[in-house]
Amino acid sequence: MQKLKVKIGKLELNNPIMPASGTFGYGKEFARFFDINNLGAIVTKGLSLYPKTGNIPPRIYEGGKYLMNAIGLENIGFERFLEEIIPFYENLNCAIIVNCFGNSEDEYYILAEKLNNLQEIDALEVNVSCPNVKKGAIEFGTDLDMLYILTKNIKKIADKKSVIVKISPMLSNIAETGKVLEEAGADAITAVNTMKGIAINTDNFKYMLGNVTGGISGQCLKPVALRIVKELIENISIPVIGVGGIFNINDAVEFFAMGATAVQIGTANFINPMIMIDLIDKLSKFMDSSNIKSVNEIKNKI
Amino acid sequence: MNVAVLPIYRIEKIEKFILLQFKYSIEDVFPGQFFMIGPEFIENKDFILNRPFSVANFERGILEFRIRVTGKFTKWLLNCKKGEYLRLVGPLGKFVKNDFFQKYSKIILIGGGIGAVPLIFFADYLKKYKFDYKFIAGFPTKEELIYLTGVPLNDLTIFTEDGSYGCKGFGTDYLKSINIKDELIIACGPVNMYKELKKYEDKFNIMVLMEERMACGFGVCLGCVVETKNGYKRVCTDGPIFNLKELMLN
Repeated sequence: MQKLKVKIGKLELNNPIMPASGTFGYGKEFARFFDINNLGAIVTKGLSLYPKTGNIPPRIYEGGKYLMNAIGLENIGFERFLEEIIPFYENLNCAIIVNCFGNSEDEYYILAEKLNNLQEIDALEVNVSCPNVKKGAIEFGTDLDMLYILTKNIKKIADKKSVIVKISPMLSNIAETGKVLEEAGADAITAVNTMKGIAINTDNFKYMLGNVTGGISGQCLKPVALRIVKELIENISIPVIGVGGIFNINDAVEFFAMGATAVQIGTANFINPMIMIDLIDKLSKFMDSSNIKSVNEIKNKI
Repeated sequence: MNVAVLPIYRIEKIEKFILLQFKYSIEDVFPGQFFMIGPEFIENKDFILNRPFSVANFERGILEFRIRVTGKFTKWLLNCKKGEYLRLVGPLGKFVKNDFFQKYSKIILIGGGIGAVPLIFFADYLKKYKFDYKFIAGFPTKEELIYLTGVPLNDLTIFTEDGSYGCKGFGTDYLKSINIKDELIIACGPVNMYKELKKYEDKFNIMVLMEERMACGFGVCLGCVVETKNGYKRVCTDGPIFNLKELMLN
């Protein structure tokens, strides 16, 4: 459907609905539920150059309107990704976005180069915002000089791919961060990752998570994410992919009203694995009933 | 593995115990498997995630769960009525079938507390395929026998810790009295019970069903991992059934 098509960097997506990294594995599990080609794009679990074992359990805790996780970026590493996952992508025709991170600046670059050589992949979503690992990821997103250099270099190395940068909701300088990323050549920004938090069990005075702190997602993240999308849109002209607490079509439309070009679905995928397919259908119906011809038009409504 | 929104076919509530049934014909279900169950709509609930429940039985198209009311989700479930629609994601998890059981001369099922529930399905399956098996269930008191509502107790050996029903002691005490090789033990219960079973792991082949908090149930969130000799494994897709020898049980 023409009206659902959106552009992100070099990518032309059939629709603006995609999963948030870490809630979709590498896609194989969801392919058992539905034809994942129907998504605007798929976004992989965060990938690093070498495998990562992740944090000690318990790794998840559910509060009233939020989920807190401390998975710790467990992943199979590039070599296994190449052997086990890439052949699966050969037969897919939706856009494939690989979320990636490094423990050091060099690891980001080596991985970017390897991914740049894989024709099955369309874009890199660079994670500079995971709150759950001691080393890597988030420190690259909070130091603006570092963020500029990292983004500019990845953009240069991964010259065949679109480069998207995923930011933290805990930044105090959103507008400035956005401008730095745009200047460094990022094709788009994903906003936002999870918020860092703590939960305590007062029955035994133990932390609910083995890692003590975890990343908060779910409904309570939505207002924060909406505000950040708005701040970005007002300050930059590259596309923003909105993510945080989208559970139904109204939530998604709120992000489009703030100017998001596309949205990612995270926690809600765990509850209803069919939700993204449902949202594509409902977005189309919403646009028809409101006489809206393109997703970008939604922001004119506010 | 499917997502289905199905009406409750039967729901019985006895104090803090719920027997829940659905008519289910989407695919076959095997002992050891589970479903993620949740409301059709999560708005106005004080939880968001589905919860994993082991299948207590699957016979003639009726999918049965036996649930102990412990937290906010199960308290919500207590207010659900026949005909109300719930979301079921599943069947999930690994299972063992005929050819696996054939390697053993006898199969001993040991349930601890609510852990006896998935073993009801194992027992029915083993009976159906004429395997030699024994079903042991241990409970703190006779009050917990409520989990076995409708199950013919004559087929079971029951232990209670306070001696209020059956033999006095723990279900695992049964193992002290037997000494046969080539037996398979399938156990489900609290981690402390598995620690006790570790004493027998060189004598018998022991498989146990694990439980962990999980967000998705189908392998993507990586939230439900347990530590094994081969690193972290997901309870949802690498289990829930594990070889006891493999588990670290920290």
